[in-house]
Amino acid sequence: MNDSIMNNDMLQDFLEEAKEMIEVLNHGILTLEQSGGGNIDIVNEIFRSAHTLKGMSGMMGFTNMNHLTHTMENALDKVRNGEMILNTDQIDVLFECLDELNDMLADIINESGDSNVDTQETLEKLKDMLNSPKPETKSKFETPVPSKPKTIQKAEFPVSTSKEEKINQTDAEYLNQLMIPDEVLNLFKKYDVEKLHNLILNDYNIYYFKVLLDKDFCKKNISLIEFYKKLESSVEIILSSCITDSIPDIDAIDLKNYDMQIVFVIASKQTKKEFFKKTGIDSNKIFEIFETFENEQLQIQDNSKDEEEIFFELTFDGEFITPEIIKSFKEESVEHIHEFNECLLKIEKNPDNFNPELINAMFRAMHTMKGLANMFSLKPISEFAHKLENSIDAVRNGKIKMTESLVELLLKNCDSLGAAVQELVETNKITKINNKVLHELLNLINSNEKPESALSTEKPHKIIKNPFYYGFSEEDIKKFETAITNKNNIYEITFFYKQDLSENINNFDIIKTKIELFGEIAALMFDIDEIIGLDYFNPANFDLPIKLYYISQENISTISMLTDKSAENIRKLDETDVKNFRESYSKYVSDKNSTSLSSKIKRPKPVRKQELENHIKKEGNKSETNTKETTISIKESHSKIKREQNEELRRRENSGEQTPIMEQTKSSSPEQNKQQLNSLVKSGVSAVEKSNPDRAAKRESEKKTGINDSKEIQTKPATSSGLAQGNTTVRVDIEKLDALMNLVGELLIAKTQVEQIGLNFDENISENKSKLKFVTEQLGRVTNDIQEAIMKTRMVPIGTVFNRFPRVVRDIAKARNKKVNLIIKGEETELDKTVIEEIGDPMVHLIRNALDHGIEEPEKRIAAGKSETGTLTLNAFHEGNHIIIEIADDGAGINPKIIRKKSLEKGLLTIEESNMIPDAEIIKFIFKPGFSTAEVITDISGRGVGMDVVKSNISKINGIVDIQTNVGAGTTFTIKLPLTLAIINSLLVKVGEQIFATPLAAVIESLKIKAADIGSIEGKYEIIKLRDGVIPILRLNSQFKIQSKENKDKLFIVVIGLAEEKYAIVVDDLLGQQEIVIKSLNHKIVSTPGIAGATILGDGQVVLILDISTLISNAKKNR
Amino acid sequence: MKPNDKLLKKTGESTEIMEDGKNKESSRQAVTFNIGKEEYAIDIMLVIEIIKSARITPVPLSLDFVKGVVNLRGKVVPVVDLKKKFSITFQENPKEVRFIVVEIEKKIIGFQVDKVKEVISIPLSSIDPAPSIISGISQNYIEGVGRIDGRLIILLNIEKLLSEKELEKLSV
Repeated sequence: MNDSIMNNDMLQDFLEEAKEMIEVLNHGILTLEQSGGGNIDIVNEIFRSAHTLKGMSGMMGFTNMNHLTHTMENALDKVRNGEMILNTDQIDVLFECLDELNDMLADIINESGDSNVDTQETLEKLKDMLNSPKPETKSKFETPVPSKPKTIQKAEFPVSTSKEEKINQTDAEYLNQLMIPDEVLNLFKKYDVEKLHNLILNDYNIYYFKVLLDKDFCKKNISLIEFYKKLESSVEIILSSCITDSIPDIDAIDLKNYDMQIVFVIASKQTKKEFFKKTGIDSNKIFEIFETFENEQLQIQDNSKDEEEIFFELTFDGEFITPEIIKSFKEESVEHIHEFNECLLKIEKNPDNFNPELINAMFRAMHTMKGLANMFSLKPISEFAHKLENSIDAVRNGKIKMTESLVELLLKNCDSLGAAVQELVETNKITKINNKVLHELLNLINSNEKPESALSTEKPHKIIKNPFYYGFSEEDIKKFETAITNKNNIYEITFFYKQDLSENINNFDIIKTKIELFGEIAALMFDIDEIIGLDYFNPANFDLPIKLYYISQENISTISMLTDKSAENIRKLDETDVKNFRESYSKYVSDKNSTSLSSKIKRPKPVRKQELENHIKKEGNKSETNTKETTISIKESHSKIKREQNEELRRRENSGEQTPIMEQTKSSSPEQNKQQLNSLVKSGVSAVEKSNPDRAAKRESEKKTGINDSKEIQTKPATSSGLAQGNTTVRVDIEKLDALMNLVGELLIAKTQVEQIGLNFDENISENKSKLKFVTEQLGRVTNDIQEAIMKTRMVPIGTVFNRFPRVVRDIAKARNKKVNLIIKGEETELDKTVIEEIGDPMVHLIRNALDHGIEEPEKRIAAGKSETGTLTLNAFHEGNHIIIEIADDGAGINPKIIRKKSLEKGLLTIEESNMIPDAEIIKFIFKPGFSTAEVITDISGRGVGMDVVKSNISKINGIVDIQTNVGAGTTFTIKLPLTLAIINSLLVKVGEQIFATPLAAVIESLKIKAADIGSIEGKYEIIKLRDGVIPILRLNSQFKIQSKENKDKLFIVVIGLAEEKYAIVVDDLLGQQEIVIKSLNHKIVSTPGIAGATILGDGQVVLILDISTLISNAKKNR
Repeated sequence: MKPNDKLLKKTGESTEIMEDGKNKESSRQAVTFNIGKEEYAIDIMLVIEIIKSARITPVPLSLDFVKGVVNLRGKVVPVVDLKKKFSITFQENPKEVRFIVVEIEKKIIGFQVDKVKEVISIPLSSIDPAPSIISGISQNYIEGVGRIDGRLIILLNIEKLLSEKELEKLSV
């Protein structure tokens, strides 16, 4: 799948949902383990999550994930039904599954495609789990299998876990019986059929419906995933998929109304009405239910209850149906039947050459009729209408021909329906619907359709996934072949057609006209390869790939210039490609012929192309109308080609005739084309602009609307890079956005006030002065609030990080045979997204250490007089402009003596130094790279890497780590983090003439000293004694090689701390504290070690921000 | 061919200039300026604006020809002293010093020059290839030398001036 195609929003949605689901699963399985595996509510919850995950991954086309979750679901189903009780090993297997799911997600983020994580082993384990012997006691949760006799033999559907995925003959026949169309039937897999069968046996009604992606979702702003979840919560989804078969058959591509069809097969015990009520899905609003298969219907089909008289009474059903509604129903029904009748009569007059619009009108009439009847639970009528609708659909799809006999039958049926409605209108009752004629009709249609259904069961996948069919017609391929023999070049130019066509249509139009001057567009079509994947459809940002096949003598660079570089891809086709086209076409034709669908593809391809072009033209006209006056008036002075195009334009204006522009371009002689090209190549676009003034004018109008090529080019890479990073979005609480909106409103008010003061400032200076003061205050307040509000939108609760630790703690505790109770506090504390991303890893290391080295084995704990179970507490809270995260254990604590010993052993410090450093300081040596107290390197810790990671990650986000430890009582790590990274509080300091900003987060204290206070070790390293500690001195003037005006009596030091280290920076002056916006030094030539960025002060001066961590590491290097 | 290629890449603004007919394929529009005594020119399409004065904040440890950074309407923009870059010594008139702000590879950068002269159209026919050495400036940075009314104008390839390669060379 092409990265740029795969829709970012959709993928983001999926990823977020999937992550959530995995978290729920994780949590659920953990609780399950703690509660001994018997809690049915939790089992249900995790079952649902696995199920949702399965559905979503299936919808996105991630088959690997789909398969794994499906197997998980099977296993959980057994647990749910009480057939299995989970033991620890099985829970481990489930955790393994989760890990793999996480890996898959990571793969998807990185590659934006289906993951290839090897799930084989886990799957085997899961399957072993499934095959494990059933416990003797039957659980009460097991659903009793009803003994209702059915025509379908149960024996045909042994519930097996066979890996065979394709459905077999019997299954296909079975599905055929359900009247599920072949296109959907092909999507069924073995287990889907089993599920379907079981559900039918359990008295479920089966519904099948299609939703139209654009019309139903995009245009109504409904999230497909939301919809799916809603659906899922109320019914059993057997199948959901995108129908790929529908693409090659769209003969009239009307891009504006182009819809991707997604089909759902669901099972529910509810009737349709209940179903709508429950799901809150309004059938008229969201989608059309095309067909339904309720159990009663099945029975009717199977047991031929045909002649049975149906009595039905229209009742006032509660408050919902009022007499008024019934009245309007009657009126409408009569209207629809009347319309249906009328269309039929029109067709009868001219059966061979009727307007397809009539068929559509009939279809609509019957469809609405059906919907209306359903609303009132008028089953006989709705079923009748449904069947009529099906017949019309068959005609519409070209499955059967409109013959006289068919019209006759339809008319008769319409009469019986009319009679029934009439009866209803008069008596509020239906006594009888004449079903006889209906069966004649259905027989007629079925006999026509038979060959197709018979064949499709044999080779269900051929039609859909013939990988070689490119959608060319005979004519197209002939064109290609001639081009090859004439040694012309053939190009395949790929464009993306934005869902919002108006955005792109002019652009595309221009390019098309331009390239038509130098060659011939042989074919224009959707890129089927791209659409075929299920992961394609994306309601939010539907980007349709269009391939343009272009024959020209020019070389590829000219073509790319002609297309204004807006083409996604240009590929030169050679002989073999054309041969492939030819082969695939013949194959396709033979396939199609054998499935009696030949009537469809015999329709010549150019119709399709022209319609698309006309449509595009139509769109283009919108912008052309502005400029057409100029176009016509300057027409005379231009080349012949130009004139032809203008005439064409005018002709269309006058007559409304839709002539494809292709004819015009063909008629212009090749010499002219050649000339045109030469001048174009010489002078670039300007030549085109000059000779095509209306194009230039159009470009103008485009510019006005802010659309131009360069914008297109720029936006493309931006979106794809966003995708590569995977997690660049933040979910923002709508309340936060609302608050922001309010503030912006206030800002606007303040702005108007300032404007007003400005308008007549001179008139009343003194009054305005005080007003201005007031407004300025207000502005200041609002901007501060806005700043805060914006910050809040970047904030994410730390719970998202904390929540993954229960699992980590469980795993480690289990591996180490320790008993640990994890307490999490303050999950709701919010932190900047970037900070959140960085904090996860260090916390994992700290937690591992706490469990491995901190908390003791149960025996030791008991011996030490502590409770058997250790406690690990994670806590997060605000403290001023900082967030404090505490990781506290009640374990053994860190013994400074051991640290001292180890540090000496590893050569991290000399005996001399060791004697100088107090206990509180020596503990910080655990942050040194390579330091480890562990005698043995275990799989959890001991390599001396972890604490180094902690330190470096935390320094990266300007954080500080601190340790408090009491031997025997436990250790607490405190991480102090800045709230956000974009705006920081800083301390402005002056060195020489230059001002620097020091991130306040790193500043511990600042004090005034005298030059004499600075001492030195070995006469080399400057230090200062501060209270009971010794802090090394860091001089900016020497690091930055700048002049400082040393004033021996009045010096300042700023004590900075980063992670566990402290340094004192010597500065000439302290200027004060200020909030600054960090701006990057956006150029290599000014990027300097020790400078993190720049900011702009109130007076416009640029001030550099110190990069504390680099400064410290540089200082260390110099020592 | 080459200048046209460049123009084709440009956005709508550039096409407007082309439309008003001043800039035919036969000539190039350029901004001319002085560094020391010589007259230089850069392609007008690269120039965003020319500013008079700016408060420069020096950046420590940066290359010697980098003057520092300035605030250009909220953006922090580096400034390069072309005179230093070309190792020219000349006492400029501080009143005439200008900063030509250009966009190179999507990054904005300012160049300090001694004096900005005019915008001129240099016919391609009057542009000669660069001689091997002009007052210490490497041939790499020079696209050509234009002659107009007896004036000698050095057409700078400012993009090359700060290309990755150049910077690497310097940092070594």
